[in-house]
Amino acid sequence: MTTTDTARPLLDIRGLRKNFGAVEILKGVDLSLRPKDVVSIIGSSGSGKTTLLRCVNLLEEFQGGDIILDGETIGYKTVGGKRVRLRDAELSRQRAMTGMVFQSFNLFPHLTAAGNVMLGLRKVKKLGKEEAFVIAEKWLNRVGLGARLEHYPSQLSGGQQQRVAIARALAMNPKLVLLDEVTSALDPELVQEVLTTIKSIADDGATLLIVTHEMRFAREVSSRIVFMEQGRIAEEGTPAEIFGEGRSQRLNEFLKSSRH
Amino acid sequence: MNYTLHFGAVWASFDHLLGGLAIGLALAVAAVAVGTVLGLLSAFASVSKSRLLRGISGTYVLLIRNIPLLVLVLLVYFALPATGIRLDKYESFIGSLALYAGAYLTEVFRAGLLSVPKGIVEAGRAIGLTRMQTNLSVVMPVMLRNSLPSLGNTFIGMFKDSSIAAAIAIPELTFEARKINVDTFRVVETWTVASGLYIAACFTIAALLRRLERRFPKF
Repeated sequence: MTTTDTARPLLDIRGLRKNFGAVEILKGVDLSLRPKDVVSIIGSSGSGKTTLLRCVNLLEEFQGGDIILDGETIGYKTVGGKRVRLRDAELSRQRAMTGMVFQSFNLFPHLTAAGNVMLGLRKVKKLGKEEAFVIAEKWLNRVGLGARLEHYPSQLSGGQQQRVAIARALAMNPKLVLLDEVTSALDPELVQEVLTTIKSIADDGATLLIVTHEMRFAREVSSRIVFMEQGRIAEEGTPAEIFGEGRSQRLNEFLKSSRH
Repeated sequence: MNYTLHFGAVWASFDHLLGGLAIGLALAVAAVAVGTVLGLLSAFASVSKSRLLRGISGTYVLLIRNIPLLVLVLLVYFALPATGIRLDKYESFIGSLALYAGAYLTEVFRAGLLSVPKGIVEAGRAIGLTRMQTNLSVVMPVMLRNSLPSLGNTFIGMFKDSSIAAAIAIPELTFEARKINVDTFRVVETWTVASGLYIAACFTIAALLRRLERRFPKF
């Protein structure tokens, strides 16, 4: 099969380098996603998975390489041969193109479930109150929380909060959704409802970049799996390739140790 | 010789005391309103990345908190006209108390700002809010809610501090009480009634603030 020029990657990460002081976190990462790809990043803690996601959402600065989202280089521009971070307004506009769901939900505690979803619609998309509410209601229904519109985060379970966070990200109609260990802070019995929600969103054709420790889920939902180790992509392949025979010694060890 | 209590002389001028109380409340409300704006700006400056802004906020708090309020009020009232700025005694006192309140509220709001979880700030940025929008729609409401209890204390303190206005002859409660005292020599009665009025007013303010705390959604 030949790839044509029209299959432009939605996300193209080239030679991404990131360090905190003297510590190199990302040592040149290349990764590209086409529309509707679902890519899971696995790897032990400290391998740079979360940092990679945070760079894509411009929550972290990075020192080298390019991130190209839907044809636009994000985060930095080159002025007179020098690499400069973009201004806040530009960064905000580019951030709105991706949605992010965090490990610790990070819902706005002073707003209801509907209010959480509506904030971006109102302030970023500049929609009217009624219009924003209709969209919020639609997405909260979509994640199974149609009956919880007026509940505050403190009145919701962890799983429900995370589903509100997913609705909040998706309501903005992002080109790409980043999911950062979204079930790691949940009680075991609440994990499944969140994974089911993500699975159904993937089935609807969303483009997802997922950092996860849930190997069975990664295998089930992903079109591709990336194994990161010490700031580099060590292996990349289909779930069958990654979880099947013939994987590297290192990946083998990681998969064994992550099977609790 | 026994001292017999005679409240009659104080009751005769009770309307003056009430009028004084109203002036004191008005002074406190105006000063707290201006001081809240000062305190918010200064608190945001104190946690900003800019060394200059942090320096300005720090110097402001350092200077104002180390001057007794009475001295600050006298300084503003008597020294400011020498620089060509003419304020009447009300404006001058409100300005002084606002400066004073702003310095204390800087600390209150600063603590509130530090209590806002970093994650919800990032969540705001992640949906595309600008830094300013995140501050207004996410940080401020959460910070204000978290600051409410200490905010109440500061507000009550500011109301009590309105008694200092007596020093520049503003006819608020303490000033009126002193006048009655001088006219009638009913020392104990006068100051007992004045204290009662302060207690009643502070109690009411505290009760209103507690209701406000309950009305805000709990996090």
